[in-house]
Amino acid sequence: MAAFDQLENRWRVFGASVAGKSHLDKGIPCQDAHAHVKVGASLVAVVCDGAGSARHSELGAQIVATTLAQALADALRQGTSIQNLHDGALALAMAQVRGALEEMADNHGAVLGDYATTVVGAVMGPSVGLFFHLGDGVGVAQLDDGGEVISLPANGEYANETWFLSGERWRDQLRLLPIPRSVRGLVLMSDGCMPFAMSKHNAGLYVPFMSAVQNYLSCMDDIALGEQALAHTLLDPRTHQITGDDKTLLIALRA
Amino acid sequence: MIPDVALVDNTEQRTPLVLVLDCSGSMAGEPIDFLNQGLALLEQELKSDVIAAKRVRILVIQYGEHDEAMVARNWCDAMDFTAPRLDANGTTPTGAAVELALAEIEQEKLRFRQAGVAYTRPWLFLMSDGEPTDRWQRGAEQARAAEQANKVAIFPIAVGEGANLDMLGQFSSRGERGVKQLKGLQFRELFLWLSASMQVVSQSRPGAQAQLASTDGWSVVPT
Repeated sequence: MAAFDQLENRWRVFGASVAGKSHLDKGIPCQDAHAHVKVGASLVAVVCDGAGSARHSELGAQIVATTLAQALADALRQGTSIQNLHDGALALAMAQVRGALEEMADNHGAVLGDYATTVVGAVMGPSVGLFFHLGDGVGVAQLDDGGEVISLPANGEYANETWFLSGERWRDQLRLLPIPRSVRGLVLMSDGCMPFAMSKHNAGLYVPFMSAVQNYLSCMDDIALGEQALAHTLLDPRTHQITGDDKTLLIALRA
Repeated sequence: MIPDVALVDNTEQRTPLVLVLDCSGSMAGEPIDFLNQGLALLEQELKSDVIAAKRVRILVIQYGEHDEAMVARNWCDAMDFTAPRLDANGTTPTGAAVELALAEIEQEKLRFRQAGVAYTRPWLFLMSDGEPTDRWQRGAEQARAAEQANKVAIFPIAVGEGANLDMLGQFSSRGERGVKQLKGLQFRELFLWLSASMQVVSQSRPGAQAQLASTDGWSVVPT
């Protein structure tokens, strides 16, 4: 019976990061990244958006997404609860990732700001979870009983400015948002996807986009094929009329 | 490719642009004509860019008459903007015009916030060809403070030989270094540059520096 429960709680995670039109035109690599780790019935997922103005932001986004997801998965394995994460363990893990990045910058004659990246992620257990968020991008938890919990972007006053993990005041800018009930789906995205994946004023997921995507993915047995289809959709030339930005979408479905 | 996916732009974002234009008597003749042509060009250029037409939001303030500063075109999206035809006569109440512009900007931001509309930093273009005739120092002080507090970016433009560069510099947190001297009456080049810059800024995203064209086409370095 226990094994059956485990099976019931299996997550199916599809992620894609693609370069935006303005980066494709200039031959600049995609500066978005995503990562996830499954731990038992729980899921850790992270999306990072490297700053266009930073020298090594594509590396910063990749390293932070991967190492932060891993660090949080390790914490879960060691018995850290969602409540513990909320009460300091998450900020601690982030500080360690930031510290490691700073060390790497030192070793390469660079500075932390060269790896500037935003972070939006979630740790989701069987019944409750937590969003963590620094800068822009969006996280949406689709609750089992309907409704959504939305972790909104924070930009300061202006839409074309945001916060990064490399910033001095990252601890003040880090926002945690509890997910109070079990979910059927989790969606994380970088700001490049927001214009078409979110409805006006970020009031919720934009259904004409998201339900088509989720319905399609929910029928996909092959994760790799699903991710390929997702990437192709994000590269659709119609998106070029909407944004020149890199686009990342991570969709986790509870099977 | 996933079938039947709707891909539309749900973004609500605005880039406010305020033009504060000297319409005093000394602008009469060619200067005001060229300024009017420049405004018409701005209208045309912004409307021809799909994204800028939706996102750039314009307010035009004119000053002249009997020390009067007034709204010549109220806030509107570039797609709805019609360039005014300005007349030149009267005095030069530069301070009052800037005070009005700064107040309008904060009111518009408040409306954006209430409506949940994101916005980029407003740009304020202050153009003058002469000496202020009002008590302009208070407006200048407010302008510097607003710019230092990152509430607005201010671009003072000196028109013609009679403009007071020192005075205009006091409306910028960068002082006289912040002032651009218009080359002759090259309003056309100025407004083409402004339109191109608005197109870049209205589509700029966090973390990326907006790459603006050089101002060499219309400005000379004040000496």
